[in-house]
Amino acid sequence: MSKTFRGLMLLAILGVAILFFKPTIQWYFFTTVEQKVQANQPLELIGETARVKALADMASLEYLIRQDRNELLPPELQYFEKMAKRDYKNSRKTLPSVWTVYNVLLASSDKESVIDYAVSYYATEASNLKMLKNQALKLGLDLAGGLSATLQADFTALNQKLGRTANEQEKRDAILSTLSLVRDRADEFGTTEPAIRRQGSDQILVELPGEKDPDAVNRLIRGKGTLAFHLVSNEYTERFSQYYAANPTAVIDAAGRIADRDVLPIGYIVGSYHTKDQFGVDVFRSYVVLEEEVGLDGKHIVKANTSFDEFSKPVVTFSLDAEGASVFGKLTEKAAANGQSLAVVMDDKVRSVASVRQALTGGSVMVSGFTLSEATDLSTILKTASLPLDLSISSMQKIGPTLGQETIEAGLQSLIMGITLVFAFMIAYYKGAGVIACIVLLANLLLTLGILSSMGFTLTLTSLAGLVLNIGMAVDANVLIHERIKEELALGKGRKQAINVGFSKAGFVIIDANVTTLIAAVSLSLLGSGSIKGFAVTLCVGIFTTLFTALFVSRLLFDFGTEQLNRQKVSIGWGVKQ
Amino acid sequence: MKNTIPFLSFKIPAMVFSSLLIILLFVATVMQGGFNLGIDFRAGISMTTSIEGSHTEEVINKALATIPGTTVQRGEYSNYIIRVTDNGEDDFRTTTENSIISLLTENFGGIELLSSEFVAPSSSTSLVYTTIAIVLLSFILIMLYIWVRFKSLDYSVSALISTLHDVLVVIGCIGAAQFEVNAATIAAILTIIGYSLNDTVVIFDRIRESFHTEKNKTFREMIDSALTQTLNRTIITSLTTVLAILPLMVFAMGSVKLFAIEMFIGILVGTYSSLFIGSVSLNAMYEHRIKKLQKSK
Repeated sequence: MSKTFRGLMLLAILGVAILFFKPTIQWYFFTTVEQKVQANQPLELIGETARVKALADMASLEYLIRQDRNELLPPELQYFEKMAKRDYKNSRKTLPSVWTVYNVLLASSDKESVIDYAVSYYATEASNLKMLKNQALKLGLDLAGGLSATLQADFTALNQKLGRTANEQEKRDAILSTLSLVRDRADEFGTTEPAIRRQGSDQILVELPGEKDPDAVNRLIRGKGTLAFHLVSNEYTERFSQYYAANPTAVIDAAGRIADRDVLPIGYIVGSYHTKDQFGVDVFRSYVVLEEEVGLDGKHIVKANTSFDEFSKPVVTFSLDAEGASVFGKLTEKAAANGQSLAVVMDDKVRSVASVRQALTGGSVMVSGFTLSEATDLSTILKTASLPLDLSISSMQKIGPTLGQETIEAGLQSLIMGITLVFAFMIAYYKGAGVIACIVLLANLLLTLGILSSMGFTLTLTSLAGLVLNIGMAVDANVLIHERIKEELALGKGRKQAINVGFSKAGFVIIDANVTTLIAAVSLSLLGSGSIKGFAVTLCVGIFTTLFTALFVSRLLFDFGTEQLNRQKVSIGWGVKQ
Repeated sequence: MKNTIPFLSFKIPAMVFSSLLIILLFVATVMQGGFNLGIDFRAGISMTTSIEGSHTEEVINKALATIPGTTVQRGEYSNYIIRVTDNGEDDFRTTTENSIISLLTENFGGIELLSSEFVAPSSSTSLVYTTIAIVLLSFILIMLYIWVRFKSLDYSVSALISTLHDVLVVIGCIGAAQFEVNAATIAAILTIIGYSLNDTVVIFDRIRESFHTEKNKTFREMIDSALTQTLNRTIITSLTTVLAILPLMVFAMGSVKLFAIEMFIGILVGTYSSLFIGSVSLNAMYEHRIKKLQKSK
């Protein structure tokens, strides 16, 4: 490989690492507290908040125009300039020389369009922030705290199953197996190192890192039974929509019934049909009337796969067990014969309505109407067994880091001090080669953090331990190379040859030592869970970056000195005569 | 050529020292009632208290210094979550609750106990067993790798002995000093395993190389010369890692400090074992095989 090519490759890799790492820097150093609050709010609230802000901005625009129409746009409203430019272009007007309040609104067709623009501006801003947050390295429970929730177990289902009141031992066993399933789910969802413990005799205490979103807790306790297929009644849907148009104040209770019994006979319920907009916000579409009897229960679903349809919308393919397949076959046969549609209901909301043309007997069913994250959540829940006990959230609060703020600050400062000491020592001991080692170490750290943040990794004390080991092994790799070069120089070899032989001899040792550790790291990251996994993943990534930086980057820098700078000697500290 | 240091002459003292050290450390651990398990591994009570004013977790922890095994975590508003590990005494709950309330009132004034619940450990002991099982599995894989790379089982077994030695000493130190065992302790032990393996493989690689380049020497001399040749590297690497750990040992607090101290012990033992334990075992196994060969002749 030519040196230019190697240099370019190095720059490209470091560039990608910086790109990966950028969201982390942006999130932790250039994001205001307000913006962080915004990014942490649940998806459903984003649309609402955006609307409130947009209305406020509209009001201030109206106020300004009444005050002095020729005033310039204040900075917080300057985002309207873009809208104005678009509107001027559409109506083929010439752009004004200054953006006064009046000029901005001149080309807009009506008030609604301005508000719409502002809503989409704020919603985009919020969802961008949310995306930034997801791309940044997250901090674990010990470093940043998170959300603590107490889950209350309900023994009714257990009592029914037993046909009597469960005794203490049975309750205890049920709680323990529920707890371990909740832990499995947290692992499946990729929640890093949650703390989950039994509290009292009938509660489970869950602490989730970094999460401020209550939905994360909901996902953990959601049961399979919350997903079901129902037949849609076309006739009653029609009748209900007429009734609802005449009585818009009609109240639909949680079970999907209305007070006026004449409208819907027993055995039929009203479901609200929601779809998701581009920001993932639930948008109400219409009411559909469903047959109350469950057509197919979610417990028959054994697997859910996600893919995309021809319009690149996510679709979920549910695979059913044998019983489910036969039930579903009969259900679709009936639907096709009566021209009925089939509705997928999740968490009491209708997520999808599809017409059925023929009986589906294949034991699998493809459904649209889910966002990709919902679809993957669903398949994750299906992978774990259903919870033996029903859980409900009885209290929830934000909690600080388990380590304590001062401890974290002192730890961070010491970590930086430690790395500085290592750098100082390397430069003092190895002189020029020490400088190279420092550059190599910095590149190594940058690469490791870049790769980790691209994986959406959560940093905890244990993963920092992995990072410390990584630094130790990276320093060792450099020391091995430098000591070998020194030995070759002592044998009387010139710069070029000493570097050549030094690298090839040290290379073997470095690979051997790192592969040995990699074996342990890979098995721990595949089989381990929680803090063990975090440690092992950091170590795995660190081993690859150490090999790359020590053997490739360091070599490039040495060769650069030999060939471009025409160095004859190696600046590598004491003990060798050249 | 520099003088070769006769590392293997310290065979007997090193073996005696290591065995005695490990036995002593474990005896000390048992005499103090075993390991000092933290709330991660043991049941206890979790109290939510409201304390007037804003205090750091560390200040509150200091006020509760007389009650062993407490951790403090900040909740929302002026709530603090205080967890205390169960010490096994009969009236643990009432005594602890009372003494915490009186200590807090003494130090901070307006206190209100919002809730108090018995909680089970967050990390089950099954986590520890799984981890040990995975570590053992990876040991087997590593032994296979070293066996293939070095073409001799002697290296595999010696690397294992040396690493096990380090782990035992560190675990013994944790028990003898009654350091709290928490999730970070597992990380420290895993880190030490990684470090120790790295150290041992580097030296073994050099011994293997001497096997090809210094054919006129005995195996014992080869080991000594390999250890001498890599001594510089061994010292510099250990020194730099200690330098990285040192500020953490001095300035950090709580479990971070404990982690640093455990790492420091691990590095010291790792350096010692790669010089005196791994090599001794390698030589002993080699000589044993030679003897067997001669006997069978």
